[in-house]
Amino acid sequence: MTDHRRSFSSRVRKQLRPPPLVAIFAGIIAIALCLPPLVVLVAESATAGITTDIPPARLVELLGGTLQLIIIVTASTVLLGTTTALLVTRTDMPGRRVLSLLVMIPLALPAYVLAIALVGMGGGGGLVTQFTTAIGFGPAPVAQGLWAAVVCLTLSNLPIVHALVVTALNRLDPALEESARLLGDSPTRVFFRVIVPQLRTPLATAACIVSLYTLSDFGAVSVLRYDSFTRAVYSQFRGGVDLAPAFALSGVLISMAMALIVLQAVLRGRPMPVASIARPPLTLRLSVTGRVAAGAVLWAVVLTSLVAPIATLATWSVRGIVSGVQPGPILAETATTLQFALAAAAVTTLLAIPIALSSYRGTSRIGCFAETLPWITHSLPHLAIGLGYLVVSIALPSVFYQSSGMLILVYAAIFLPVAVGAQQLALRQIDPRLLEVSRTLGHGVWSTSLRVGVALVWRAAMTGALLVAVLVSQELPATLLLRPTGTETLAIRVWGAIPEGQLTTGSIAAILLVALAVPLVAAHHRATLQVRPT
Amino acid sequence: MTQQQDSPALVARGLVRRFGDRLAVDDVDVTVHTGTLTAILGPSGCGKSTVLRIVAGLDQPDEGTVSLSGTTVQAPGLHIPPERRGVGLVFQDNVLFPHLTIAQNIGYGVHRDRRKTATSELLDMVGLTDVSGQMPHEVSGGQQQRTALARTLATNPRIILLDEPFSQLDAHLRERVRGDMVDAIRRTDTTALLVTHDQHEAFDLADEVIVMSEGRIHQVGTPQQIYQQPADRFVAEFVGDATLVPARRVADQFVETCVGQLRVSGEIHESSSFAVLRPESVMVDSTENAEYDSYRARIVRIRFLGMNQLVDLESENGIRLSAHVSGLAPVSIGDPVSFRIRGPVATV
Repeated sequence: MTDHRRSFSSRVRKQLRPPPLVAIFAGIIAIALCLPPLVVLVAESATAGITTDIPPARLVELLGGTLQLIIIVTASTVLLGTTTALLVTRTDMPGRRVLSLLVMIPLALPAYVLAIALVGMGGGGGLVTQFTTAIGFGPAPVAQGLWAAVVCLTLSNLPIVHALVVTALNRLDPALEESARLLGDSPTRVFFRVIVPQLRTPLATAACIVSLYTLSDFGAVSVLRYDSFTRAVYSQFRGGVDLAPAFALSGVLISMAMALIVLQAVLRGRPMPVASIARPPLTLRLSVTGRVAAGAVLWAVVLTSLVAPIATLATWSVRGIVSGVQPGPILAETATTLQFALAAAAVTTLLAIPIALSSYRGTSRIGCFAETLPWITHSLPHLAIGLGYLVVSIALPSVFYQSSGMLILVYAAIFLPVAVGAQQLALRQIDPRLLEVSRTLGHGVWSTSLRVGVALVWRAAMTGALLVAVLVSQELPATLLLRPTGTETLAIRVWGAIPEGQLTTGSIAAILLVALAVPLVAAHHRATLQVRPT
Repeated sequence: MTQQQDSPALVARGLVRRFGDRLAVDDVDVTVHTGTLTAILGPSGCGKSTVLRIVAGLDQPDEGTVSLSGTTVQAPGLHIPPERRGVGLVFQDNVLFPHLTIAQNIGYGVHRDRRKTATSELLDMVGLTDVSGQMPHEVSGGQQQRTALARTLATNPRIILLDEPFSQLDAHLRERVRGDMVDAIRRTDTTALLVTHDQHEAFDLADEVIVMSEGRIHQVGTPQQIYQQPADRFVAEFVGDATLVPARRVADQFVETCVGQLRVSGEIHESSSFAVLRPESVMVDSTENAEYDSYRARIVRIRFLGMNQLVDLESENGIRLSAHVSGLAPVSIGDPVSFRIRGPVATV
């Protein structure tokens, strides 16, 4: 049977292989869109590394500070995320499903929104200050520096780790744990001897992703004034007409990022726990104290990562509205943000089609290349990538420099893998025999592609487009570097609010950004409900 | 393209299909007469599905021709695409379009002008009117299978190809769905070619059976011919329970075997050297009732089937064979019995 199946599926694959023209087209898109900044970055930072002299002490200071942040954030996120994942999948905690969802929601908040919320909690008019002074502790400190950055980035990355570990835990074969129990292990011993070893790869992957995000973060460290690499690159860029020092620092930044990307790719190739039978895993029955403790942990996470930030932003927004903030500029920024987001989503989705078509089966070399190159550009710190595109736009005819069209193309280049991924997933789920049935029912190649292929991919492609739109609306570093003069967006307003002492308008902008992400969360929720097998 | 009224619905000649070095289909001829149901019976991987795909136009043979109702659709240098062949195909797990309702699935291949009437007619015929607005995943496996059939019948195909259409269904459902589908096929006078590895299915449904193995055709005939006069050892052993014992021709219609001289049905070929002993030709009795031509044996295995029991015997001269006894017979493992062969038997 297996032999028969294999020859069958290989035949089908051959029949469905997209024409070479599509693959070539995909390759051209990937090269034209995603390769230039990489070339610029490598070339510029190599020459800059020789010509500029950044004081070694400064470099050591920056490296130390950045590594310190990465290590603490990664460790705390992995520990906390594994804990919340275990509590919602492996205990009989009441309300664990809802809590798991609540833990996941901050995924829609960019780190700098959490950061400005943290700033709004402490200091003079802060929400936490009101509470602490009421009980006689004096004002809470203003959130800034290492610990503020650690809290902010931990809360911001927590949903990623939580989701990865929950998925991994649900994929473990419960029979293994049952066997270990029958062989005489206590639940605790089963955890360390059976569960933890199987979680190694997902945990390493999670640590890798969190490290990369922390290294790449620009918005949160700027808002919280922590001296990390990205912030130093930006101040070098702002500091002078000579881009060389900024590129020299970028060189170090992208080397570190590249190491993490390679590590992540290696980990991706390692076997993950296999999806097994749809049998619920063993759950631990909690005692009353256990339930209280577990509930306290989960609710504390939800409170600090979701409820308190949103409440703080809402309070400051209300304060702003009451004190008579001019709505005009913020409404204009909202409109600009929406325009860019929708235009970029449309362009990205269209450009993603040939790449998804040529790579979803994983059989075409050009397709594989066209998929990987944008992924690298997407994964590298956007600040460095933005710098690369800036140089590219200067080299191009002058209509490109600081133009809306250029910015939209850069958004498309950066978020291409998001749209490609959504389309690939839907393409892979199409049973090739559906296309065959359509052919035997009298529909030709084109009619079949439209009535079956497009019809089945449409919804996923739209969800992907929505995701791109939300990510574009929240994108900060590339927008900051490449926007046309005078163009302001909500993200830039949030980023610039603290130095200008504009916490109220910053909060309103942050709330609006979060509101723009709501439709995505809803659509994503609906999409995941529909994908569920019947 | 001239169509002759009396030409068979399907004629395939000399089909050859290679996958790398492997010959998946090796010089296969298939003829299906209009209005009949033919089954290709063979073990998994014997090439039967490939033949089906070639007929549908989803795969191209390396050699050979296919014509449908007298129109050549496949020949060296000629390949009519599947959508222009007028061939229906029903897969084993019924591959319905997940984004369309039951009614929309059925109407998929019908021209817009006729879609509404054709859909409601077929919904009625296969008894799916109640669920016409539901999505495929919301209906039962049997209903999905009937939808797949109705969707195919809706295009009035010249021939309908069924690729193991019942193997995914639960045993208790299979019989019923099988009946429903054959009714629908017969009622619409549709010609059908069924591919299966299940001999009961082939015997139950087909007017003619083609037995295939490793890409080659072993025998073509009615179910009775296939069972009673197998063409070779493979067919004899693949179709039904059989014990093959060495046989030597001693006279016209008679062979000498280790269980006596047996009368042979049909001709004895020059190459024939085995007699095919089916359970129904083995008569079992208690040792007291043994007759002059009986052999002694012991019961080594019993399969209780309800109405009767299938018992495996091991004879004193060392051959093992199966026999039916009444479900009421008080047999147990190890019992000594006597048996004799009641002819005629087939030889291969």
